[in-house]
Parts: sequence; C-alpha cells; structure tokens
Amino acid sequence: MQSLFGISTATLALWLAIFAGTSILLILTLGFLQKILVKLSLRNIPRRTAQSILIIIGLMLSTTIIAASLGIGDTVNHSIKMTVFNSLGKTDETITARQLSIYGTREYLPDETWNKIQTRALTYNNIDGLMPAVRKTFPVTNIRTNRSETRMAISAYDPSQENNFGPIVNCFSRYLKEESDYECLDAGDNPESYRGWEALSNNISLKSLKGREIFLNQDAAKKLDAREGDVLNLYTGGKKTNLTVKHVVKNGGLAGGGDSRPGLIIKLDSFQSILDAPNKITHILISNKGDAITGLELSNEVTTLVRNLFVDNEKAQNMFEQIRSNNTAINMFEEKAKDNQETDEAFKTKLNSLTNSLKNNSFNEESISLLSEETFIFRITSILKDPSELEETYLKDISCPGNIKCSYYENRDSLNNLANSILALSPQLSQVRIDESKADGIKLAETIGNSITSIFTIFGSFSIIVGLLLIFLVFVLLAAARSTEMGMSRALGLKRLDLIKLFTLEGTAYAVGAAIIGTVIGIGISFILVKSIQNIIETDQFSIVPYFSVTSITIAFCAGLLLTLLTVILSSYRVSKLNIVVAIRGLSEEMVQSLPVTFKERLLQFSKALIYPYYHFSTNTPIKKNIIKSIINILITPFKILFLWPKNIFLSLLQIIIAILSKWWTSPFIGIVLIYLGIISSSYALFVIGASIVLIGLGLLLKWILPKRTKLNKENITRIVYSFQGLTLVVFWSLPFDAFEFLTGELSAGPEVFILGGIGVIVSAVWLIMANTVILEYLITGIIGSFSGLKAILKTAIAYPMASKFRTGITLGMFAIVVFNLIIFAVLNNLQDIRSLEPTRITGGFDISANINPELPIKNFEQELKNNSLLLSISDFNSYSRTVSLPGKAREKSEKGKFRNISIKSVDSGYLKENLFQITHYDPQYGTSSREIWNALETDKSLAILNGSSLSTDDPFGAGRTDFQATAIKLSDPTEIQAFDIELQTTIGKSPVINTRKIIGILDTQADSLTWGGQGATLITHYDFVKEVAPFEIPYTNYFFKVSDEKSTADIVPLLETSFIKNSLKALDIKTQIIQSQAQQDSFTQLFQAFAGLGLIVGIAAIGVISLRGVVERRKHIGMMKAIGFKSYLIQFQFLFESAFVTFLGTIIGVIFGIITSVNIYNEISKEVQGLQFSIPWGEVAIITSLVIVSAILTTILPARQASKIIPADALRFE
Amino acid sequence: MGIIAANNITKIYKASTFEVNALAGVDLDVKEGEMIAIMGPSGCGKTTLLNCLSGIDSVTSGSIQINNTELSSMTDNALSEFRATSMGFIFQTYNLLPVLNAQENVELPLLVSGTPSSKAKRAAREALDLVGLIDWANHKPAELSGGQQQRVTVARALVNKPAIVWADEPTGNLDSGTEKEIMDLLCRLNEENHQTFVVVTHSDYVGGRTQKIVNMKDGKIL
Repeated sequence: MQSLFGISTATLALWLAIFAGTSILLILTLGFLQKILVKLSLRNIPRRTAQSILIIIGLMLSTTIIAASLGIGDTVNHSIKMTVFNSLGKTDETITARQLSIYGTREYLPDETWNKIQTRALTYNNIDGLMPAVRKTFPVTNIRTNRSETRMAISAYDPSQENNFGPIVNCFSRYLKEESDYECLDAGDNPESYRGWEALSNNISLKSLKGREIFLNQDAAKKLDAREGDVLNLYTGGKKTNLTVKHVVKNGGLAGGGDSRPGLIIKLDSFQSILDAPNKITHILISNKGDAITGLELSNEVTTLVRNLFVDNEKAQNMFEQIRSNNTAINMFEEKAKDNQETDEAFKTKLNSLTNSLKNNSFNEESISLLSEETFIFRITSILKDPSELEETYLKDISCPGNIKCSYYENRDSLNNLANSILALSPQLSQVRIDESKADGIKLAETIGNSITSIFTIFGSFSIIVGLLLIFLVFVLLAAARSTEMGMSRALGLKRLDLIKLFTLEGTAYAVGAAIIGTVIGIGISFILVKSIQNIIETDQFSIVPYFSVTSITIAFCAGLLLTLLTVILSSYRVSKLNIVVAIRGLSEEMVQSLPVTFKERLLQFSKALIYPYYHFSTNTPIKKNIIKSIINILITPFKILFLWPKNIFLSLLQIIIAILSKWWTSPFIGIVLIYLGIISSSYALFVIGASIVLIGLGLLLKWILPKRTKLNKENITRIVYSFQGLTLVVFWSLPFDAFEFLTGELSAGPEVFILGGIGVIVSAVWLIMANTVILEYLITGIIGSFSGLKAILKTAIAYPMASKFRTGITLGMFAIVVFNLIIFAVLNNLQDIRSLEPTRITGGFDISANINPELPIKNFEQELKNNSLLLSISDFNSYSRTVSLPGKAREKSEKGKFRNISIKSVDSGYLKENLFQITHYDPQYGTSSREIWNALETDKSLAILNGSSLSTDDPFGAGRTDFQATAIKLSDPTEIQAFDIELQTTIGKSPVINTRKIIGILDTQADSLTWGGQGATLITHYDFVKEVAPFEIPYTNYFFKVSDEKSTADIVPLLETSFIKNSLKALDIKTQIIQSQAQQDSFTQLFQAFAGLGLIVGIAAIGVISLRGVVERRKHIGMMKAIGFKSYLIQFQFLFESAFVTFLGTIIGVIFGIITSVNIYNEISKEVQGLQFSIPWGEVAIITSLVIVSAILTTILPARQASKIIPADALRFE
Repeated sequence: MGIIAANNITKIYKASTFEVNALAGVDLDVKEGEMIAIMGPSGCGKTTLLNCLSGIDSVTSGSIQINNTELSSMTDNALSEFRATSMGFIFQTYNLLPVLNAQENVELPLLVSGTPSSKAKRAAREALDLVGLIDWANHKPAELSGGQQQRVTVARALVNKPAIVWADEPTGNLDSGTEKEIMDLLCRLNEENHQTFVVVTHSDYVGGRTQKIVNMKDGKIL
C-alpha cells in the first residue's frame, strides 16, 4: 500500500522507525548509564512467568490489531495486483473508440487508427507490441453438452502480431470428481494427473488457428463443459456460426477470463467475416517494453505519446489557453493538489503537472496528454463546479498572482463558463480513448487495499484503545505489587525519576517482545480474515496471495512499540508518585495528602528553567578531583545542557498550563473557543470536544462554589461534582447527532466521530458510576440483604472492586467499549432485515429480472417464446414487463444549472401497471398512493419519477457525487411534495435533444438496492420518451416477470435463458439474489464484528490480570476469612462473582449506550434511506452479554481456585 | 479430658533440601473456661501449635480433639463450619478486611454461618459496644488506630460466642497502655462468659495476666 489515511506509508514508516529507533536508543543509553536499574528491572521479568506471559499477551494486542489491519490491506492489494498482471498479461494500454453506443458499448475505431499507431511504434522503442482486436460479447452454446453461456467474451486477434503479448498456455484439462469440478494443469504437473490426455507443447500460437477454430479459456470450458474438438454455436444477431474448440487454454493474458468472464479467442479476420465488418477493429492493445510487471513503469510515457498522436493539437491549445486565462481556476487546482483529504496521489501529481504547465505557459506533451484524458477533465471541471470546493477556496481567501483577491462569489460565473467550455471541447480533442489498463488496475488495487485497511483500522481502533488501557492497568498493578520494595528503594535513595526509568526499562523489554509477537500474530490474523473475505465473495477469479510489505511490518511494529512505550512511560509516571511511608507500610494513599504546589512556585520553576545554563553552572562545577573525569564532564556538559534546557522549559511550562487548566474558569473558556471554532469550520468533532470541556468546567465551577455556599464535606462535594460532570456528559454524548443543528447549522463529520462519540459516552458513564460506588454498593447489598448466607460473600465481592476505583474504572471502561462496539454492529446489521421483512419493496413484486444484449433484440417476446421453447410458455408467467435505459443528462428547469449525468429508464405500460415499488414522496395533485402515481405515469406520458439516489444527500460518510442531484427536495422532506420540471438532454442521433418531464414522485430507495442496480441518479418515465428522442427504433433491453404457480422460479430461469440464447438473455431469480446478497452482507458484518471482538480478548486478559493480582494482594485476608469459617467454595465463589459483577456492569454500560448510539446512527441513516426499521436484536445482545460474562468467569476460575486452596496458616504467615 | 486435648502432635515443614520439625511431640490439655498463654523464643513453634490446635493448619502426626471431636477426621468444609460456630480468632496484624467498615467486619463470622442479616447486625453492634467501639461502627479499618482495630478483631472473635478464642500475639503491635486495655477486656470476657482463651505471646505482661503459662522451646513443651 502506498498511503494510509492520506499519508504516504513510506513516510509514515520512516518517521515511526526514526521515533521508535530514537526511543529505544535513548532507553538503551539510560540503561548503560545506570546498570543497576537494568538489573532491577530485567530480573523482575522471570520472577512470575505466568504473569509475564499475561503481560506480553496484553501488550501485544494493539500491535496485533494494527498489523492485522495493515496485513489485510496489503494482501488484498497484492492479490488484486497479481490478478491484474495475470489477466492483462503483456497488455499495458488499450486504445478504444471514444464514442459509445447508446447502450454504452464501444464503437469501432476510426479506420486510420491502426496505421497511425503502427507507423509511430516503428520509431518508438518503448512499445514492443501492438495487437488489433475486436472484442464483443455474444451467446454461445456447446452442441455436445447443450450447455450455454449467454455472455461469452469473444476476442479476435491478428496472429501476425502475437509476438510480445505473452504466451497462450495450453490447458491439460481434466475432471476431478464430477464434471463441474474442473482443473487446468501445467505441463510440469504430475503426468499421472493427465489421465490419458496427450501431452502437447505448453505454449500455443494463434497462428495454429484455422478458419472457425477457437481457443476456449478455462472459465468458458468449465461453463460449457467443453473439450477439444467440441463444436459451439455462436449467435451474432440473426446469424448462427459453428466454431470448433481447438484447445482449452489457461485464463489470463490474451485469453482473458480473469475478470470472471468466460471467453474465447478467434482469428481476427474470421471474426470480422462473421460480423460482416471487414478490417474493423474495436481495440488496439499496446505492450510496453519489458515484461508484464516492468512494462508498467513506462505506462505514463507511452500513454502520453499515444494521446499526443491522436489529439487535435489546435483544440488542445485552445483549451489550455482558456484555463490559463483564469487565475482563480489555476489557484483552485493548486489548492486541491495540496488537499490532504485527497487520497488519490496520482490525481494530485497530474494536477500539479498541469498547474506548473499553466503557470509557466508551457503547452507540452504532458499537458496535451492530460487534457485529452476524459476522467481527468471530468475531475477538474468538477473542482470548478463543486460549490464545496469553491467555498473552501473562498474561505481561505487565497491571493491570486498579481495580488488579485479571488473569491468564489467574484468568479463563480467565469468558473462555470470555463468548466462548460472545457466539457464542450473535450470530446472534440480526440476520437479515440487511451486507457492505462494495467496502471488503472494497479491503482484500483491500491485504493481497495487502502480502503480495507482504513475500515479495519477504524473498527479496530476501539480494541486498540482497550489494549492501551490494559497496558496502563498492567503497569499500575505491577507497581501495586511492588509498592513495598519501591518504597524501600526510594527510602534508600532512589529518585522518582529513577522509578520512572526502572519501569520504563522493564516496560521496554515487554514492549519489544510484545511488538514482535503482536506483529507476527497480526500477519496471521490478516491472512485468516482475507481468506474469510474470499469465502464470503465466493469467487475463484480472485485468489488470495498472502503478502505483507516491509513498510507495513515497520509501521505495525513501530506503531505498536511506540504506543506501548508511551503508555508505559505514562503509567510509570503515575506509579512514581508514590509516598514512601504509604508504600512501605501498605497504607491507603488517602492517608497522605501532599501539599499543593503554589502557582508562584511553578512560575519560579519556569523562570529557573528559562535560565537553566546559568543555574547549572552556578550550582555545578565541571572540574572534579580526577582530571579525566573533569575532561569528560567538560566535554559532555554542553550536550547535557542542550538536552536539559528545553526539557526543563517544556516540563515547567506544562505544569503552569495544567495549573491554569485546573482553574474552574479556564475550561469553559477553552471549551467555548473550541465550540466557536467548530461552528465556523463546520467541524462536528471540534464542537463536541468544546462542549464537553464546557461541561467539565461547569463541574469545576460547582467545586469552587459548593464549599463557599454549603456545609457539605469534601467527599460529598467531590461526589456531587463528579456526578454532575459524568451525568451531563452522558446525556450530551447520548443526544442525537443533529441535536444542536438549530444552533450550529450543519456540521461536517467523518468516521472519527464514531470513535470519539463511543469513547466519550463510555468514559462519561464510567465516570458517573465510579463517582457513585457508595450508592451502587448500598443498592446491591440492600437487594441481596435478605440472602444472609450469600451476603458475606457478595458484600466483599462488591466491596473490593468498588474500593479500587482506578482499576475497576479502567476494566469497566474496557468491557463497555468492546460491548458497545459489538452491540452497534449487531443493531445496525439488524436494520438490513427490511429485505426479508418487506421483499416487495426491493423486488417490486417481480420474480425474475432479465436483460439481453442490446445488439440482439427480442422483436416479439411472446411469439419468439412460442417458437424457441417447448418447455416454457407464456402461461408460465402471470405478467411480463419491459424497460430500456438510456444515458442522458438532466438539470432542474428552474435552476438552469449544468446538465449532469442521469440514467433514463423508459418503461412499458405493463411495467407501470404491474410493479409494486413504493413511492416515498409524491405530489398529491397526481395521486396519494404509490399505485395512483404509477397510474398517473401511464396516463400522462410527460410525467416522471426520480429514484432516491437522485436527491442530494447529507451523508457524512458518502463519497462526493458527480451525477445529477435534485435540489428541489431532500429525502428527509415530508412525503407530500410539489411537482417540478426537469430538462433532459439525450444524444441518440447526431445532435442533442432536450425534453422536459414533470417529476411527481420519488421512488423508494430500497428499490435501488437490486432491480435498478447501483445508486446512480435515475429517472423513470413511459417508453414514449424513447420514441420522442430516438430517430430509430430502440428495443427494450430489460425484462421483468411475475411467475405463475405452475413452475418454480428456479426452474424457469434456465429455461428462459435457453429460450432466448440468441438474444444473449441473462435471467436472475430476484428473491434468491436478495437472500444471497443479504447473506453476503451479514457475513461481512460478522467478519467486522469478529475483528472488533478482538478487544474482548483484551478485556478478558484484564480480568485475568486483576484476579491473579487479587489473589496475591488479598492472600492474608483470604487466610483470615478461611480461619473464621469461610469454606473454600465460598472463597472461589467470591472471586467469580467479583469478575462477573465488574464484567456485567461494563457490559450493561456497553449495551445501553451501544443501543442509544445505534438509535442515533439509525436516525441519521434513515434520513437518507427510506423505510428502515429499527429493532434491537435481543437474542444477539443476550449472546454477546453472556459470551462476555462467561469468558470473564472462565478466566477467573484459575485464580479463584488458587485463592480457595490457600491454607490459612500459610496465608497468615505470608508477608 | 479438657476442651482442647493434643496428644503427641508433630509438624514437619519440608523444603526441597531440608526439613524443619516445628512441633516435635507436643501434648497439651486445656480445660473449659481456662485462659492459657503459650510463650517461648521466636521460632519455637508457638504459632504453629496454635494454628494446628485451631484447625487452620494440619499436623503431621498425633491427635487433636476439640470438645471431644477429632480434628483430623473432619473435612475442610466441616472444619470451616466448626471454626465459624465454635471458634474466634485474634491476630497480631488484626487482619480486618479493609474494604468493609468495623460493623461489617464483625458481622462476617455470623453471616458466613447463616445467621439472618438483621440478627447479625444486632449482634455485631452489641459486640462493638462490648469493646467500646459502637461510635466507630461505620468507620473502615484505615480510619482506626491500632488499638481500635485490635478491639474490632476482638469483637469479631467474640460475636458468634465461640467456646474457644485463639489469640496470636494480640498485643504485639500495640503500646503498653493499649496492651493493658486489650488484656483487661480479654480477662473480663473470660471471666464473664467462661470462654476458653489460648494466647500466643512474647509479652511477660500478657503471660502474667493468664491463668497458666505453657513454655515452649524447639517445638516441645518444657
């Protein structure tokens, strides 16, 4: 992977390695200077092997999760890359016609294209192969087996050009157990496996093909159950041609198949003759110098050269000059290239290249290439048109060259005009399109890999936080275990800093070990996860190749190590604050209150730090009695000062800042500033952080006021203040995301809000509970008071965790976070069940959807069905309906903005009468129910409806949209709307035609999820629209069937495909498809849930650590309890109950706030997706809760047994 | 035969390379209502004898009978129940549960032996009243002085009205004034309730306040 969250992985790895290396070096130096500390720290590790192992397990989990997230991205990235290399073979670029047919297929290339490129390639060394080709999709049937493929990818190549396009590899095919279980063998495989197949030469040539002979790729052979010598029927329009299978060949390279499409290879002239298109080609494949992988490096250069070859230079220069004359446009491109949110590095590079050319007025090959690239032009015009881009630029108030102040408002019209002019010029620049097929595939691999890593890192972040909490807890417990010896060490003269060093050294040893093990386990987990994804997708086209880059290993190891070290140092700092007497005598910390340092003293410390060099020399003399020591001292003093001076300034300043922050008035002030910044920058994260700080500040205000106005004691005041802070924060973080929108306006938020919100609400809830342990204890003991036999045990089981607020709080938080995460997944997964609850909303009441090859239309469905099939008749269907989709552009008539892409679905009357799709918004003037609106479309052909995706969205997680977006209404608007007009532009003939349609309703977004395919903007109107805009007859391409009861849908689907094989009809059982897609989605959610559940291991490890520690700490108490009559099983029960109680409390917090947050997320999603139903999956909640509690109890069994076996006499003697 | 009868008991601690004969054939007979002190130098086996007699440790050989019941014939659970109903313990380091307040600590032996909660509460308050700590009932051990903590321990030892009270160095951590107070209390209770007290001590003062002193050396009674 090349980037993670927009940061280059190489840079990230380098910086992390520098930080980690420096930290380790510093710690090693520390150890070298104070060997006694190394001895003390390292000898502690083998003292308790079980405890050390548990610590390493706890410490490694953060690294494991980071490594697993990176590994899964790396593996997916690498696997897709390998698939791209295998499927494209030596083809690096592809030339196709720029013009598309109305159905979206590529037209034939202009006649001169081949000669032009062939002549140029003769004098250009970086191209080592060119292949003219025709690529089409037609239906094919195997006569011998009667098996068909309705969408066979047919590739016709010129055998004279096959050099440098890599070998076509013969497949020594054989069946395994049954005919569908097919394998393609290498010549090098065990000859036994051939089972009589004649060993042929491995690589075969296109030249061996004669006439109507073909090579069939292994996917096609499997689909058709075909062997060498089989005769296939190829249907091309009204023509049927016999083709003979000469060889079955391996997928990949010229044979294709890698993109999950079965294919066959035929000689170019043979296919041209079948199609009656002599000398016509649809593709030219370009092979760069070098092999399949190294050729990629030349992709940009070759693409630039080829684009320049076909571009109209005059028009390109015209476009260049138009952009150059608009300074604001150049500035906006420059700003966009700097945008860190823009993760596409390739686009940034291209944007920089164009900006430089524009600024230097250098109209060169590179800029010509960029301007002739369709996708690039589309993206830069989007920048010029997109209001959010303009607003951002306006806010930054950038200065244009020549000190002209530019702003969106001043330049809006000129930018719009420029964008329109560029878009108008673009198609005229070149008649052909050059795609960097392989480079684009690699970029796709990169993007998918990055996205997967980001998703897993976000889902794993809760577990990472839980892991860090565990590290903190582990070290605090370790310190508690050693408090007496630490107190003794301090009494003997060890400084506080030495204690920090001591723990840091020990922690470093653990951290390094844990980071190594964590990285290795993380790699293993990533491979398991990817394998699971492959199983979910169920494709054999994409094979997983386990891969983990050195960069990712470095990031995982160093990030894990640094996070652990940082936590270790923080916990060491906390540990070092022990009071010597308290530590030695094992007293409570509350017994010894340290005197507060005054602000004046802190200022004095800061002043001393500012003049540290003077202070150092005035208190230390570098001259010692020993001359060598003096010289060394003089030499190292400058370095010592260089290190200590900034360190002292930083620390003393930090103390002052902390002192200021602890004042009641600073927090509200800082909070209000953050709220203000959040509102003006539309940042939800800043706003909520600011508001939380204000609430904490109000608590501090209460702490300041209460002693002055009341006679409450300190303990009660603290409880009131903490309760106030905890409660207000819990309420605040539980509010719907848009609760303050009436005050703040719409704020932008990303996935970080999910993490921030989760942590915020859990911390607040734990805070509230831990502030009120007395009440909780009172309530519980009150409830169980009547069961006297258990009371003694339950009382102590509750009293112990409630007395150790810090460790219980952390453990509660850990369990609550994990359960919170799991519950959200469970609830959100449950939302999707609308598909099974109301399938009609997705199917529209249809059972089968089918589409045909537009080039092979069905003229009369009923007649052709009668002619083609003996097994299927029209009576097998209750009804059938037809639609056809045309590409078009749309804009709201009232807005008169830019025309944007939209798909126009023209449907027949049968469809309008039969479909049961719901209309979520409608104009009551035309009908008040879905049926009435559909009927209105049938009655008045000038009416139309839009799908839900055509409305603008506020989805914070949604990607930027470039297709048509209506602004007249939003999905969240009330159901009754006012009809509005839309202008539609279609270009089917030579010139564009503009029509108007009145939008009277909006289609349920659920209808988009399957039948309409994809989430693009779509308009639905009567088929009359096609008659209005098309100068020739355009046939229906999509069919929808309602099946009668006589046959099952599953039986009809294959019969339908066979009956209309000549039309390349592909049919789909809609309900089965829904079930499969739901199952796939569920599997993905469960996979994410399992990954998020890794945090559970951390929580369980924490309970284990605490219980083990409890046994050691309370050994004497256990001895005493047994002495006064507690039976062994009661002691055991006490420990088990204690764990169960803490876990249960954490789980309850997680469940409650997980459900509340899910409701908030659901409310946000329902604004965009209509008809979702919220329900809590109580069964799953119960399973999660039980799993967590049972796991915690199981982990405690061992320590509990240990405790129960303690012999009182031994324990009472134990010190 | 007295309430406590030990016959030729031995206790051997085994380490990997050596053995320690903590008790080497001890015979002891304590009568009901008697208050005895076990004294001797450090390491002579005083605490081991007390632990074995009270059933919180097992003997290597020999027989111990409490109220005519042979301890070695009892299971761990039966022993626990026996201790909960018939014995009380006072330790040098108090061994109060720090997470419970004084009253809750005193309630523990009653609750564990199945006494109803309200009854246990009442009895605990009476016991605390007896040792003069009723006003400190809601305080946790950390908020009490050493003498007060030891008095809570005494209250806990007596709350279930045991036949025998075992006290291991009950005044070991206390100053002489408090030592006297605690011994006054123990002697008063012994006189009033006729309970048997076995006290392990280094203190001559404590030994002097008991009715009989048993001296030990090298695991044997002299």
